[in-house]
Amino acid sequence: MIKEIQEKATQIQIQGKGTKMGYAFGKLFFPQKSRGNNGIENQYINEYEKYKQLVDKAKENIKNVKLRAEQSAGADEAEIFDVYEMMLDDPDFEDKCIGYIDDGMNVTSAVESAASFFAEQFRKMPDEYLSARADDMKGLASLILGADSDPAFSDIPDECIIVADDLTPAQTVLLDKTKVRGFVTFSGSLTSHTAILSKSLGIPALLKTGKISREYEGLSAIIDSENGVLIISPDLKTYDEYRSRISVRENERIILQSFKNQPTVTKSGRKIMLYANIGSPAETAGAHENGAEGIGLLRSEFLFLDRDTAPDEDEQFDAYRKIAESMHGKRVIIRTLDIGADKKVGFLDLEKEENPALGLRGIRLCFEYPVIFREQLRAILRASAYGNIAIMLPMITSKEQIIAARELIDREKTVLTRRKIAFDPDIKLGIMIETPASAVISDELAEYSDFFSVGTNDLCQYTYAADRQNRYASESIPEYPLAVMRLIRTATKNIHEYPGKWIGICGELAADPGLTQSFLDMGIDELSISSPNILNIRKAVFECN
Amino acid sequence: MVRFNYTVNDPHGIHARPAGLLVKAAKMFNSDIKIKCGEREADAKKLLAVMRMGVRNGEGLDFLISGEDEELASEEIQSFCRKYL
Repeated sequence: MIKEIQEKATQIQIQGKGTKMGYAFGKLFFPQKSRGNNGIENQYINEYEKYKQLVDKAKENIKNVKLRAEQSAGADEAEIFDVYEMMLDDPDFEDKCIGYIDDGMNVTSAVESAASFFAEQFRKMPDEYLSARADDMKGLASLILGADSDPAFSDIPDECIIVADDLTPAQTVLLDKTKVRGFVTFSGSLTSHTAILSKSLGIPALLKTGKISREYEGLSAIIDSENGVLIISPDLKTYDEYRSRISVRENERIILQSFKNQPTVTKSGRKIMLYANIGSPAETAGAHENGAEGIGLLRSEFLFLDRDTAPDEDEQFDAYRKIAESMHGKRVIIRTLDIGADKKVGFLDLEKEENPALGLRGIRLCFEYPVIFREQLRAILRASAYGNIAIMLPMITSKEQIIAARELIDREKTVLTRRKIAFDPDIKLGIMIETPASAVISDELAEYSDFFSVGTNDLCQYTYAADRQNRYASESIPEYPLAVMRLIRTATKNIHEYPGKWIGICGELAADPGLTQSFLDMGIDELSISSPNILNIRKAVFECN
Repeated sequence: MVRFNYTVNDPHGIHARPAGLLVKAAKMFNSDIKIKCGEREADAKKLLAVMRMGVRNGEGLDFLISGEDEELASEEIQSFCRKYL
């Protein structure tokens, strides 16, 4: 590599949108476009049949890609492929293509023109999400036209940076990571599949650079996806600068990794619990990988949303037990059903509310639907025999709510005892501190709770009377939310009046390393955050007093 | 012919994924299912048409269903709307 960098070479910089996945060195590689009649050998097939064949093959490809993407990128990211599948079936799109073929176009032009037609319509829409779908129409055209050729690029040189107009979802997912150091596309956006897959594959990418000439093929380049720039034929100074940036980044990564199996201790030797927030059984893997010491928040809603009927006790028990077992004795705190009228629950006919955030939700909803609540409690109790489970109640505003919940739990314990079904008789019951009321009267609540967990997202919204999604109001929530910090301090003082009882933070503030020292100073016992942030916070605690 | 009205209650309006699910649900029935939103109209069995209506939160939808299984279709689609829109 050094041999090819001439000190006198003029480096060329090309701007684009970076996916913030770091930097890489590589040689520019412009893969051959595989379009049109590739693979369709039979010269007697007419354009209509070619179209049919391509669409059928595209459907097959998309199925395979979707599977792969779900595994490496996750269900949410793979959702884009659902949209592609449905578009492939859409009669309007087909009619447009057939129409153009009728007009005399060959299949390539017909598909490209049809895609452009719909893309234009989407682009005109005021809704940002829908207008981004215009790019998807182009992706759809590539998907169909490239369907019959090998979707993966063959003959890629080692250590290359792929440069192309756009990459189809298939091509991105099937990239040979051992050879590809990064990719650059002339079009695309940060919400497109290319960006999403760059993040999940961990390869730096640069999008929307505009056309780049093929004359640069084979030249060495640096892809900087943090600052959004591609540097072709870097001079020695630039090369050295990036080499050291890469090295610093790599060192940071290694240092962070070294914290994986370490305890979470401060400089003065004080230990705190560092847990993970998860929303589904699949996420326990991420918790393990990042060295979580337990699950500080299991959002149980995954069992209740997107379905027509309520999950029965056995289904819930199965899910809770599997999660508890996979944590091998580490604590798992299950939050009971926390939904309101703003979520769609198929089997509950929730009335539309003026103010769902201030209406029937959390524990209130559970008391309104006691059959469902008790079923969940029973399932959690049964699962508690298989691991270290604790229960947490959301949206608490009074001690009466805790007392009522405890009564229900005791009743279910009696039922299970009679049926000779095992459960943990000492199962702990804690509450979310997410309403200002709960923080202010936390002295009363502490008597009836085994622990507190501060839901800072909602607590900030209720305390500052501001919706975080509202661009006018969200500015009212400061980065250092003093009002909320004082509420947390009050709750901490009150729960610590009872030896053995503890307080943790499970909202987003827990993942802010700038607040770690403040939390430690207050006496917080536990922080529960999303898995990717765990090592960072363990390191932050390590550097705190 | 069966008609019913539904006001969209999702902050994102009808975006790609629920549009796709709506189309999938609508395709299960033989009946013709038309969606009207103000001046815009679409055949509920066509994804691009539904997406192009660009329905936003708070907008009212008029469903017009006609065919042999119109009663069943109406029930199912209403239940779908309550769940996803």
